[in-house]
Parts: sequence; C-alpha cells; structure tokens
Amino acid sequence: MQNSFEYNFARFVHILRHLGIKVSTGETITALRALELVDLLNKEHVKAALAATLIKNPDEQPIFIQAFESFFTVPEVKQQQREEWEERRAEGLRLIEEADHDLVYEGETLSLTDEEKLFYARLPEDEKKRIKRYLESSKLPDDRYHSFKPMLEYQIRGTLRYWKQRLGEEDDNYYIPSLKVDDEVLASIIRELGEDDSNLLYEDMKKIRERDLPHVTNVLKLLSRKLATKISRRYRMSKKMVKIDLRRSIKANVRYGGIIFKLHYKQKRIQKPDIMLICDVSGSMARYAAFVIQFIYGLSSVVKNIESFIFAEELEYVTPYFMKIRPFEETMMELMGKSKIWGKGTNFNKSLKTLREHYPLLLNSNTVVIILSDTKTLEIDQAAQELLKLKKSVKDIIWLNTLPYNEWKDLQSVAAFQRHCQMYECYTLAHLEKIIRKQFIH
Amino acid sequence: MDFKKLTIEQLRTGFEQEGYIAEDEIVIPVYLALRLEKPILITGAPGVGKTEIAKVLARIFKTDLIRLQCYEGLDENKALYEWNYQRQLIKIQLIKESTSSELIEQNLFSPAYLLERPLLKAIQATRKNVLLIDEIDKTDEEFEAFLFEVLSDFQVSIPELGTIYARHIPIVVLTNNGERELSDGLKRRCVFLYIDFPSIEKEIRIIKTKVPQLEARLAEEVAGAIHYMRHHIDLKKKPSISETLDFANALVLMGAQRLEPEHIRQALNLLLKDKDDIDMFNKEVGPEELVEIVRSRLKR
Repeated sequence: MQNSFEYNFARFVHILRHLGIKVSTGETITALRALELVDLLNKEHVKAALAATLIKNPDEQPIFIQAFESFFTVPEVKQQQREEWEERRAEGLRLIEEADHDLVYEGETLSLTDEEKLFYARLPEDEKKRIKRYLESSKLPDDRYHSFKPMLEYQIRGTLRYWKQRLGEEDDNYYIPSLKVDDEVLASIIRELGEDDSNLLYEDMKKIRERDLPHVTNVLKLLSRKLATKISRRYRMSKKMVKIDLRRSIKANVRYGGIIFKLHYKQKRIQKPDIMLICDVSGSMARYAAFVIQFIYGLSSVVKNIESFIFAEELEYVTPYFMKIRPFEETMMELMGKSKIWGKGTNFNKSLKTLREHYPLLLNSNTVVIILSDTKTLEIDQAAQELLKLKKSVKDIIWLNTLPYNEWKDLQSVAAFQRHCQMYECYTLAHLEKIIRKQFIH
Repeated sequence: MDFKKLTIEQLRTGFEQEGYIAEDEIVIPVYLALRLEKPILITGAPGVGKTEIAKVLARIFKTDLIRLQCYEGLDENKALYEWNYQRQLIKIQLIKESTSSELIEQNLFSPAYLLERPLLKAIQATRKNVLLIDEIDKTDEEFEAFLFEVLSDFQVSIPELGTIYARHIPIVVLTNNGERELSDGLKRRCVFLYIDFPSIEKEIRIIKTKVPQLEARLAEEVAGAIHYMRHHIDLKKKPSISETLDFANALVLMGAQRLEPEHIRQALNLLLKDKDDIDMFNKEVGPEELVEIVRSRLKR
C-alpha cells in the first residue's frame, strides 16, 4: 500500500496542506488527471504538472518546490531524512523525560505541554536548578497540595514564558517540529524552508537579519503599492444592480422626443476609508513596529488619508514625519531620535485616552483603526473600556497581534481586547500580507 | 485540430514557430489546460508575455481570438449579452399599430435583438476559439463569481431565450497582474501558470527571435543590462520584455554595434516610464557604470 502511486500522491498532497497550501479534493483529482497526460519518468514534467494544478498563488511556489524536491528524491536521501528525523524525535523524547523527572511536585509530574517541557530542558542549568529548588521548597504541611499544584504549574509556565521571551525565541523550533510533525519528509521540508533565505515572508519579523532588510523593504514596498492601488482606484459607472436615475434619463432623452432611449443609472458612491495606524513601540514591540511603519510609510506616499500614532507609556502623533518626501531610513532615524517613548513600557489605556481626548476630529464613522501590539499592557480592564469607546466612534478596529495564536489563550489581555476588535495573528510578513489582502485588497 | 491527440512536442513546436520562447514550465501548464479543457490562469508582472500566450494559441490553432478586457465595474451586460434596447424601441414605433402586442413581444426578444458580448460570442462560436479574459484582477468580486459559473459549465441562461450551451468549449486564457487576491473558487477551476521575468539566457533568445537585426553581442549586452536593472535597482516598475524589445529596436534604429552609455541615455525612456525610476537609475548606477558592469560580467 505504502508504495502505491495513489498512496504517495495523497501523502504529497497531505504534506502540502500541512505546509499551509490549500488543496481541494477537486484540485487533487485534476492533478491526478494531469499526471496521466505527462511522462511520469520526467521529473520536470511531473513538477510542472503538479505546480499547475495544485498551486494557485506565486507565493506558494518556493514551498511547493521545496516540498517536491524533498518528497520526490532518491531513496538514499529519504533514508537519511528518516534517520535524522528519528534521531531528533528520540532526542526530543529524552528531553521530555528529563523534564518530567525534574518537574515534580509531591511525587507528581506537573502537567505541562510537551513544548513547555522541551523549553525547560533547554534552559541554562542554573535556572533549571532554581526551578527545581523552588518546587522542592514549595511543600505544604498538609494535603492541600492538590489545590496548590495548578497554581504552581501556572507559575512555572509563566517563568518559562519569561525565559522564552528573554532568550529571544531564537531556536526554540529546533526540537518542536520533530515531535509535532509526524512525517520525516515534512520535518525535513520545514527545516529546509527555515534555512532558505527566500522565505523571509514566513519568518518572525523580530528575527529578520540585518542583511535581509533590503529584501524585506522590497516586499513591503510591493505590498503597500498593491494596497495603494486598491484604495486609490476610481470606481466607474455600472449598469448592474442599480436604480434608474429618472431625472437624468428624462433630461438626456428630451432630444428623442420624450422616448426613453438612453437610460441613466444611479451610481453607488463608494467611500474610501480613512486609515489610522496605532503602533506599539514599547521594548518588545519596537522591531515589529519598524516593519509595519515602513509598510505604512510606503502607503502614505500614495494615499493621503492615513494618520499614524505610536504608543508605549503615552501616545505620540507621528503623521508629520511621513509628510516629507525623503528616504525611509532618514524618517525612521528622526522618528526614533525625537520620540520620547520609543522602547519604553506599555500603557495602552493612557494612550487610548489621549487619542480620544486630544484627537477626536480624527475619529469618525469612516475611520478604520489598525492597532499593532502584543496586547501586553498595564491597566488591562481600563484599556478594554477605552477600546470599546474607540470602537463606538470608528468604523472598524483591526488588531495585528504579534503573539503567535497558540499563546493567546494564556493572556487575559487578549481575551479582553479581542471582544472589541477583529484580532489577527501577525508576526510574519506573510501574516501582514494576508491580512492586508483580506481586509483591503480582495 | 483534435486536441485529444495533441502532444507536448507539437505544442512546443507551435510556440517556437510563432516566435514565443517557452520552456517546459510554460508549455506543460498550457498543454494541460488544453487537454483537460480547463481555463488557464496566468499570473505575473506586467509585460512578461501573459496576454501574448492567448494570441499565440489563436495563431497556432488558426482560430479567432475573442478578448474581454476587464475593468472595475464590468458587468454581465458588457461581458455576456445585452438586449438592443434602441432597436427594440424603433421596432415598437414602426409596428405598434399593425401587429398584435403578443407578436411584438415575441419578436422583440429574438436573437436578432441580442447584442452578443465576448463571453456569449465565445460560447456560440461555430468553432473552437480562444477567449482571452484580460486582467481579471481588475473586476469586482461579483463579476468574478458570475464568471466562474460560466467557466465551469460553459453555458449561459438568458431568461427570454433559455439556456445556451457552448457548441465548442473555448480555450480560455485569464490573465492576472496580482492587484488583488482572486477567489479560491475561480482559482480552483483553472490550471495555474506563473510567469516570472526571464533569465538572461532566455531573454537573449527572445531578443534574437524578435529583433533579428540586432547583433548577437549587442543582444547579450542588452539582456545583461536589463537583468541588472530588474534585480539590482529598486525600481517601482521593472522593465518588461516588451520594453526590452522596444529598446532593442531603438538600438537597431540608432545603428548601434555595441551598447554605449549614450544609447542608454537616449533610449532610457523606453525602459523606464516613471520619473522616480529614472532618477533612481541615474543616482544608483547611471549609463556609464551600467555599461561597465555589463561588459565586465560578459567577459566572465
């Protein structure tokens, strides 16, 4: 069964789906029909046939090519992939076991996820010792430990999250794929994609290296240009689904002796939204902000009605910086140099209050507010109330959250803010592009 | 031509004979679209030869090319059919006193009063033709939804006349500049082809085929210069293949033997159509340096 053509083909489609490429059953059938029409022994023909039928977006091409090359490879390489994968998996399991051994409270293993355990295993030895000591010293004199255990787990989870952030999440993906991914080819593709420079779109913006910045700049420019085209596009008269404009029709047909010869239609007026960007530039967010501001900078050179703010402990109005025509680097230098809040702590509540009190004229029913932030702020409840007030005075609020989606459930702030806006995961350029396409370009 | 017997080689030869330099990654998707009788959706930057594929197909199969140019606001009336309202009115005026009202109505909604637009024309054609739906990304989503209904069944319903089935399923070529995301539904119904800017070698072949009067050495220099401009200068609009050919033709008119800075200066407007791009080119590289770079690369 495992060597049959159908099985292998289905597995390839399954891998593509795992990599985020949408492949429907219909497309799978079309691809199979396409393979009947090409020479199966010609690798290039097979690749072209599968690309034509399974891939529908140029951005997916590098992923497809990587998947194809890893999947349709010689048996020796496949064997190597399997061995490497098994090695990593075994290493991952060993580390989990080690963590299980360490993270014990009153003889019971703490219930943490595999990911958390793996992260624990990678902590500096001193820190591991400190956690162990803490667990040992947290003994209660009676049997209340059952109710104390969840609290302890919560604390350990918080410590691990702190370390994860502190270590910059630099290589935490090293062990995780081997356990999460149940396929050696998939694991190999994910690793290759991670090493491939052409996949900057899928890399966490925080980790993008200095040498890749020019490429990122180009991607952002292209993206902002696409959005600008859409926003600034003029709308033409349509003869469909609109009401007849009797007044204009009669006026235009007087020359035909009153016979309605030429019809005129009422046109639906389409308003372009006013965009307001509110960007978190506190310590953890500064890097993301630089990318998103760069994107908005590209946009503001074409579209005029964009207002920009940055916030950390307070709110600052930064639109004037983008008014001058000059290189982006210069603008950013000036912005960062003059800003009093860049890299400081976060108080979203205070910032929104300032926005409401000092800039009421910028908030109207045509304004779409884009907020970029990881939601981590002081005074969460008050901030949520302010967000609700803001929601009532604008058309829509789109929140670009730089935290991965699987971390949202752990944060009270996400739950509080999510109620009053559309929140999207946005820590890679691919996310940014997808949101922009979905919200504005489609 | 019997499409069931069409081979990849025949199609490749057809492209070559029509002067379109196509490698496997272009020929195979087109071949599959023809054999599977599915529309082909071609994506890529402006000027890489997307529309040309439809024209070439029409020439290869010696058939008509029916073109539907898309724009925002395009609707069924402009794409499919429209009743000739004016003609109907005149007819009413002429016969209203002599014929019964039922007969008038029957006559008025006959094919004689139907204005065929490109989609209906392609469906009703007496032989297989090429239907080019150009720049599909410029239409609205509503029209896109309507379109993929037509493209999946190749039939249209006109309330007054009934359902019209395609006599021959046309070769449908859709082009997309990527200005907006197309719906999954439309993409699913098509065979997909992405055309990138060509490699230097391929561009040399294109220049030699399309502008045979140009010296071989000069063609290499032109391809090298354009390639450098596309990949090393941050241009808003990169020179397309058609602009490369315009530039090559201009060099022929100037009687150039080798690429000189003066030629670039004089014909730069054929390659770059934006003032910012021209300024950027002059600031970043300039004609002299570009010629020097191209020559040193060719020596290697």
